[in-house]
Amino acid sequence: MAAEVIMPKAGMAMDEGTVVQWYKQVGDSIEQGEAVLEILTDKVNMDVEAEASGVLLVQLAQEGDVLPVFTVIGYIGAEGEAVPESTVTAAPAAAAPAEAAPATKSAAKSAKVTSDGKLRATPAARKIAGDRGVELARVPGTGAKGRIHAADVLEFRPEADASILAKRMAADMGVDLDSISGSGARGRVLKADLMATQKPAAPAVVMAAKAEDTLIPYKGIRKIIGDRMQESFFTAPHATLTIEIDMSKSIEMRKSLVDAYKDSIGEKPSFNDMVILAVSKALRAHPGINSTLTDEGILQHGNINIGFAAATAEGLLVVPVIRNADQKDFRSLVVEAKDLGRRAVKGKILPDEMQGSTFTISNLGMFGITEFTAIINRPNAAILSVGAIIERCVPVNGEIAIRSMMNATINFDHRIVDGAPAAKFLQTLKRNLENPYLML
Amino acid sequence: MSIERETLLEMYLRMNQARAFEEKVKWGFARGMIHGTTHLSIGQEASGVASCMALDKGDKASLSHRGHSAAIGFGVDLNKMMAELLGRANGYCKGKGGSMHIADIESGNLGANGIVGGGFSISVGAALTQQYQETGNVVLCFSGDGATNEGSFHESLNLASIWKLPVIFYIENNLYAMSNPIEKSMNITDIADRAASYGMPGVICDGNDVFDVYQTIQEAAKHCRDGKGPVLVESKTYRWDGHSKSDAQAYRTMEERKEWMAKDPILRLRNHLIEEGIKTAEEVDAIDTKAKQDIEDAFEFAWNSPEPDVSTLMEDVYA
Amino acid sequence: MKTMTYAEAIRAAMSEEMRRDENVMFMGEDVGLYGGAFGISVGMLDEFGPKRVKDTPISEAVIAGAAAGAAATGLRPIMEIMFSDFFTISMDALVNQAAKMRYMFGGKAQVPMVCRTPGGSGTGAAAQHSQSLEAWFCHVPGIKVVTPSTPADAYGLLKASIRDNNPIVFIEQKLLYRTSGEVPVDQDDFIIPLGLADVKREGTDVTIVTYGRMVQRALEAAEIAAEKGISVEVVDPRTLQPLDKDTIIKSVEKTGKLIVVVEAAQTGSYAGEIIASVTESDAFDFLDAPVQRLCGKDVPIPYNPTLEAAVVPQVDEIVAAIEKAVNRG
Repeated sequence: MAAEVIMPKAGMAMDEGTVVQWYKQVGDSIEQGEAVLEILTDKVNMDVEAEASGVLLVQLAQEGDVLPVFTVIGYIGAEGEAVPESTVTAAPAAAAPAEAAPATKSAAKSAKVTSDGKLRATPAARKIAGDRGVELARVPGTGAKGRIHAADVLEFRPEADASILAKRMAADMGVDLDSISGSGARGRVLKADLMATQKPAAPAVVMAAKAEDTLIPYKGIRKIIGDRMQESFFTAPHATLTIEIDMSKSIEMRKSLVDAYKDSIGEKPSFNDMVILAVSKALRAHPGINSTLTDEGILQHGNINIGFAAATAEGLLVVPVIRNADQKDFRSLVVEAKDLGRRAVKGKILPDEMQGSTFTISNLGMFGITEFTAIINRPNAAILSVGAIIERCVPVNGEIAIRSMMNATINFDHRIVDGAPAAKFLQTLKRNLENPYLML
Repeated sequence: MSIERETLLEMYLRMNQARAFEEKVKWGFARGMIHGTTHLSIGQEASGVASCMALDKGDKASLSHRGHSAAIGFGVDLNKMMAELLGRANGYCKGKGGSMHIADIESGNLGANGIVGGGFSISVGAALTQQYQETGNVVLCFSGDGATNEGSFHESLNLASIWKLPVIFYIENNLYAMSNPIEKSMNITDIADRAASYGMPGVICDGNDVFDVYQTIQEAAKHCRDGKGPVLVESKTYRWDGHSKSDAQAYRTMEERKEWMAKDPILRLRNHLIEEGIKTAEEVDAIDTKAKQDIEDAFEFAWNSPEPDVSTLMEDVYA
Repeated sequence: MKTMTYAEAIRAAMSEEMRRDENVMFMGEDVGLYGGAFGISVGMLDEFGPKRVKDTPISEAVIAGAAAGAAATGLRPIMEIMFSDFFTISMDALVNQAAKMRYMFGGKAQVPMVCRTPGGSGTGAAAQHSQSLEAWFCHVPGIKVVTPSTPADAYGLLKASIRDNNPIVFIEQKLLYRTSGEVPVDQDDFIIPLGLADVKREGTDVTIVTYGRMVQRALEAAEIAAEKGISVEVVDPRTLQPLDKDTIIKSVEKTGKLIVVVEAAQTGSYAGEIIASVTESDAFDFLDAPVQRLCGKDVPIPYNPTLEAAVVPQVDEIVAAIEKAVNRG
């Protein structure tokens, strides 16, 4: 029986998705786990992988089509196999995995999924997985027929998610899947990602030698980022203020925390973490900065949700959000920021984790940039651009002293924030970072 | 044997009430005001009323599924009885029993019984209590002719006999077990003959004659009270209506019914009252009218009574 | 405390209640001079006389009906049905009369009667003298069902049953009659309330719910499992109607694994009801293995001893079920 290809639901808020391009054409053979097409959700581009091996029998959607989630958009089956008749209805996946393919043998070994696609798991396992947000499908079941028990969930340590094909290839190639950022759904590592790591440097040289132009399509995430930047820049009148901050005490405090934090939470605090902490405390004192211009008026947010700009391995901008940052103790904040930061690099941030920021920080200090102005991340009222900490000669009590200095620049939407309040916010931020122990 | 004047007049009133009650029930059924099913005893009023009225205070009665006349004869609150048939909260059984389960244990009415023959062994047990507690009371156990073919009839008569229990097995033989005439369900003519196998007296009375019924039961009760054990009384009578509300009565002829209707027990007593100069025709008419009015009042009361609240559904499953 | 057999405990409970309450009486087939088919009432005729200990003819219908009628009019009869199989003859009196009188008469009757009867197989009595029919009675609202597994439970529960104002089916186990145990006969007015389960052994890994004769087997299996490092909790509900669901649910929430062991034929047995009570409760979220029921096979009890033994759950089968539960089988 033919297996369905559906428009998947890739985020809690996702109701529909756009077909960006088909990688496979009708008649192409496909292996289970291989990407069949690219879709665009409300936030990200992602690949839809084949749930069965076979041949693409039909494409039921054109590139550019916007379709509700769960809509069947294609079928994979044996060559010449008839496509089920009710191809337009979006029935929940009733298709059995293609049992004909010998490749499914390995899947059968851990057959915790029943023939109709349901997971075999005890009620307790389901409850615990639900409570902890563990995706049951990824948990190896140790019970009869691969049944997942409570202990399986409790002992489960998520590893890199990868397609079956990618896993097999990684094993053959001796590549650590964790080191590869996946381009599939939720950062799933696909065959293409593995191939990309294996491209030798030589062809690049050849390409350079040929000096040909490359046309990269302006679409998907690139286009979304571009549209948003443009919208922000031309909608919100940006004004800019910069302040110098003496980071000596912050450096001292960080040093004193490193060992203790490594022992207790396994993570070292970074300056970026300290900036997040200082910003969140400062925003509590200056709620006008933590606001959004809406049709109804200026909405001052009760919660302080700090977005921080990060780049994926491909260089794309993502902004994961730490919610209620001012309510968290520093350790939890460090843990959360580290986790989000790592996953951001791998492109494994979930769409929902990029929602709801009330203020954004962009830090390019690690690149040696001392000062810059960022474009406001709409609908925030302001963005803070943080530069590198560098030792400089500064006058202290009439003498020249060498101090570790850092520039912090705020770009704010002048429609709703004026210069003086923005300046006062920066003063508070400066006081926080120059007296860091008071924040803990 | 004569019946005291006051008792006789009360008996006449109750028989009329019983008939009016059942006529009203028929009327209510036809109009969907009473639901479920019901078994009418019209034509058997002497058998039901006079037998119960022959009992002493403290005596018990266990009624059959055709028990309206007997219940009224035993003495009931007509309002509560009609309310029960209408399934109301203030009926005898709070609307949970209906026609087949009118009971008032406290007054000695052990309940009508929806199981044919179900009352025999219950009556034996009730008689055991009378003997055990030496109350001097007896139990009058009603059944129809058909019930005597149930196994429990034989077990009950046997046990009552060997334990000499004060119970009167009162068989109202109305000739039909539902549609089955007795000549097709037993090879004897008189059910009273069955008593012999259990070593107890078996007597027959004319179930349409209040005097015969009354006297027979009083003698049987004395036998019991004297510690001589149970008695079987067969009361020969006839029901005018079908077995229940869904009976086409294909099994009997109109001639037969008319023949028995001519032996109307109420008419017989009415004539007696007038002929013996106990009451004038006008006075008897007044009793008839009162009986009908009592039933109208009871229906009025029942109709205006509250339905049981659904919250009472689970009440009284366990004591 | 006094060591006595299950049979002696039952006799002691009946006798004490008859001494306490003049209205308690006892009747059944051959319960007088003979002392009952299993000798439960030996000596009671001597103490209480023929008025209170009554031999009946072989008439199960009227035994049950007379008990119901007597109970509804003021006595507190205890009746014995020689084998629970014979209850088929008594069913109308029990099911249509005794169980329903209170409800269908609008709460105005009460029927305080105790139907004592031995159930279960294992005595070579074959198909018509060996059944375990407790589920039938549990299915009828208005009846309480008691299934003691030890002499002390039999004693305390029977006394409670005699004092209860409802029809009670008190199912004894033929094979338990000669088992001994400590019975608190000297404790003033010791009774065990109906509807209270007893944790016969505490454990943390697996819950076994069982009653009657199977309790002993479950305890033996638990002992063997303990040697293998598995901690088994054995819960004996003791009364099936009312059922102490809370104790069972609490235990399953602790262990996450449930095995129900009953002697009765599986289909329609009370094991299903116990399991349903758990799976529909909050304990569902704690279930971490398929629920197992070990029941009698769906077959009439055969005569041949080897065949007969093969019908009901064995200790090694219970051990295997325990291992399956913890090994995620």
